[in-house]
Amino acid sequence: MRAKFSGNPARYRLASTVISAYSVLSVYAAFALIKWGLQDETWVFGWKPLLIVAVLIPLYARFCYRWMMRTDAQYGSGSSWQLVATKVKLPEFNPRKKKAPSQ
Amino acid sequence: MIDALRELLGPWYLYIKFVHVTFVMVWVFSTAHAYAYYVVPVFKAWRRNPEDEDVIELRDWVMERFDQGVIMEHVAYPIILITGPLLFIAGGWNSSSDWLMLKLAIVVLITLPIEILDYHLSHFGGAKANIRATGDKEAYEAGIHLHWYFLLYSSPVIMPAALLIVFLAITKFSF
Repeated sequence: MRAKFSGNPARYRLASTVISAYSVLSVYAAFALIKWGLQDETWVFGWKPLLIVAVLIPLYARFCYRWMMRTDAQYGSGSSWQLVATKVKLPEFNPRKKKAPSQ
Repeated sequence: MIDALRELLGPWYLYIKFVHVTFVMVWVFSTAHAYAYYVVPVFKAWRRNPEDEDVIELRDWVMERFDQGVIMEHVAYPIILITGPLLFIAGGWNSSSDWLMLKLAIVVLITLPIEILDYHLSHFGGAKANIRATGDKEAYEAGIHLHWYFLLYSSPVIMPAALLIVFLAITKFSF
């Protein structure tokens, strides 16, 4: 009996929020610290960059969530994909396999 | 030290740039076709028919081939990490370049952790062919699930990040 895949919409929603918050905040923080620490630029702490960060986090989280849901076939018509039961012999590929010595 | 390196590398700037840009293209696009037309369709089929043995066999085959297929991407990435700093030194760039600092932050904080995990899943402890060779079917299934989680979580991050990196490098954007 194979284990069931544990992915579900609630998990993807949480993952999207964490991924978005980490991505946006970490890149913003690193960029702001470089500009402030090495160039003495303080505009990076102004209201405009902070507003962009605040707006970007939920928007990007939404984007990630929809991406995950569609990729995991949780929604979307998927009408262009067909699932027809067929049995084929799949080729094996082993690049390290040595050729048999020729006679 | 940096000045000496800059003097040494300066005349080679465009040659290093050629290598850098070429391998960035390999890193960004080498797995796109396999991901979009093999991995995702087969995994979607599996998610809709989780008990179908034919689909599971195809899923495992595709996943193992994909582990092999990402070799090009994973050869390109270290070359990018080496040629990037060389360009930084040779070109006399510094922290006043907004585009470069933003690009650097994305590379280090976004792409690097994802690629480290990708190396593990594709070639080392998480490589499905290696797990299959142990004969442990539960570990194999867990390995497939882990890799699918990785692809689900990393793809909406790495694809826009890679595109943004290329955009910043070409436009040399400034705030």
